[in-house]
Amino acid sequence: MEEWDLAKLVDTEAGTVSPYLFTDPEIHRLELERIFAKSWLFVGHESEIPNPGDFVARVMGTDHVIVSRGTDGAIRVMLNACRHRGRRVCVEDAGKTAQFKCPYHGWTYAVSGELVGVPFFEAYQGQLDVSMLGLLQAPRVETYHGMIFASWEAMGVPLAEYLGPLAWVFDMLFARTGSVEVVGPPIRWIVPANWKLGAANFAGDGHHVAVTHGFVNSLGLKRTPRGGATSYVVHGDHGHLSTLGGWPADANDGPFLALPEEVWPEIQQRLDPKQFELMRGLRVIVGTVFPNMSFLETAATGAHEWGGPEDLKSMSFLTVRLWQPRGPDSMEIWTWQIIDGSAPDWWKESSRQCYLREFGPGGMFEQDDAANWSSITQNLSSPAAKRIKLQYGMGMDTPSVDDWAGPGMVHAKPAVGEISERLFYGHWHALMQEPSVVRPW
Amino acid sequence: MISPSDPRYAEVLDFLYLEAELLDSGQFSEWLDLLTEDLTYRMPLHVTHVRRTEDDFSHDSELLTETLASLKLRVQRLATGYAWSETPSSRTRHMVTNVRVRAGDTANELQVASNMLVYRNRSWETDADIFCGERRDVLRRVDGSWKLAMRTILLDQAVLGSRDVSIFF
Repeated sequence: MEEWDLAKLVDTEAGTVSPYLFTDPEIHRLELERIFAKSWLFVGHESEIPNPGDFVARVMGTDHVIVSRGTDGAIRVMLNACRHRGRRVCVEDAGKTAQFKCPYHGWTYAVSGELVGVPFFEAYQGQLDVSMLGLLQAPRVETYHGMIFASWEAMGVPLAEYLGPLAWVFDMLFARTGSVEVVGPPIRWIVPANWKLGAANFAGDGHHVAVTHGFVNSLGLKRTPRGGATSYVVHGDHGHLSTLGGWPADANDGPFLALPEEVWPEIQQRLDPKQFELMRGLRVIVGTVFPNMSFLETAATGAHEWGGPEDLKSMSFLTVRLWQPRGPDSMEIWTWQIIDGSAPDWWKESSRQCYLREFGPGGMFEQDDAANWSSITQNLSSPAAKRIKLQYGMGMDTPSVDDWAGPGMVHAKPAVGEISERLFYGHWHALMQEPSVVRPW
Repeated sequence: MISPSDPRYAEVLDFLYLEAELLDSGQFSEWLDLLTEDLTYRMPLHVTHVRRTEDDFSHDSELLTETLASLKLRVQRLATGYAWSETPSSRTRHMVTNVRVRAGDTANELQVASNMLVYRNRSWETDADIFCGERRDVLRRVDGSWKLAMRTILLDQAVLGSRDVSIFF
């Protein structure tokens, strides 16, 4: 008998969330079944596997997979486990290969997953159907603007429909130029915190910035004042959230998210005029694709320390990340930087430095987030802490917006509010109360 | 290779041990004084390949990519009262061994490789972080004293087992 009642763990009307969400092993197990086994999960960007034979090793929830491009050019996502006895067949981060060979008994798979070699095949006396024993394929793999997603659920909505109004936001992030690519391999590190704390924070917690990242103001590196700028919270039916924050009308220090002027004409050419005009006034786009992929593009003041030239008002970067669960109390964060290849080289290098000084394990912003999330996870595991109702009730009357330029449900957040977190946990709660995927055993 | 009997070898050891002492005692401003104006200081990402090569480190994806200015910013940050990752401060112990000194590109410079094992403990935690790896440095003689002009920190972990890199190496 569990100590908790699933139906009561989240109360979006009261704006409260139970500590059990961040500490309980059974909730973690149910999440893997009811959320990660069903959802579209981000596994990488097409620019990481441009050529036939290219592969990268990735994780979906806790399932280790291979993402490869076959000789037919198609992208496949396959469980990294030999069909004979289950050994991992790919043991490196990335590469190019014709086949994966299991080191145990030598079963060999094509880069697209078919079983192409079985030592002592005759000894199976005709009983082994190799056509049924390729690496277990994720039944659905789709891309959107080069972003590769896969799902273990055979049925369900297509990716573009799943992304819903966030697809419109993705246009502005991942299709604004024809040269969007990742910068280097993903950086990975372990944070002893529940994965949802990262996902919900990126869903739209704007008001932690003043305290958690208060060093920025203390050191006079303050980003352009936000007074007068409205944030738009965009969401749809599948639990995804994005917040688009504008520059104050009289202090736009970096139009188009502080991207370099050289790429503005291409953005104008490729995007809808409404997207282009919206981007002109934007300072930040942040959000989470449910359950565990987040993205952030943000402008920093051009302080030399962040990597920008001294005379530049603003520098910016775009990052995508995964909050990979490793149990209720630990996650592995995977981060990528995404960049417009057509931007000038000096800008790309400045952006790379700016990103790495602010985010990732060495990032001056991210390390303070990790400290908070780790403390929460460790602290809430005790019995008395379970009596706490965690508070997510700010801005219950956040008004909806009627004249939004794009699709989706949109709310205007004048300054701060917790609408994004409520929507995130509300969706989590709804999925957790649906039945699990049928178990084969 | 410059042998331990060469006086410069002892000077290098003195430098590395002084650095470790300053870092382990939280004297970061004094440590910054040991760095050259044109310092580059990087911790590239270790990636996993079947066979080890020099390509095992990514110079695009890095855990740290620093200059003197950015390191000064990090040190200033610690004093703001908002550096939560370092509240309370990490307790570190830098172990520096296997020091190899070679001639540098100019007469004023030396190439110094060393192994490092950095223990870090925080707060009431009883577990510790261990940062193990190799440092490849360039030391330059400036006004009669050695200073650090370049440091590349090659960690042995590909997936960092610590929640952050909030300390110096």
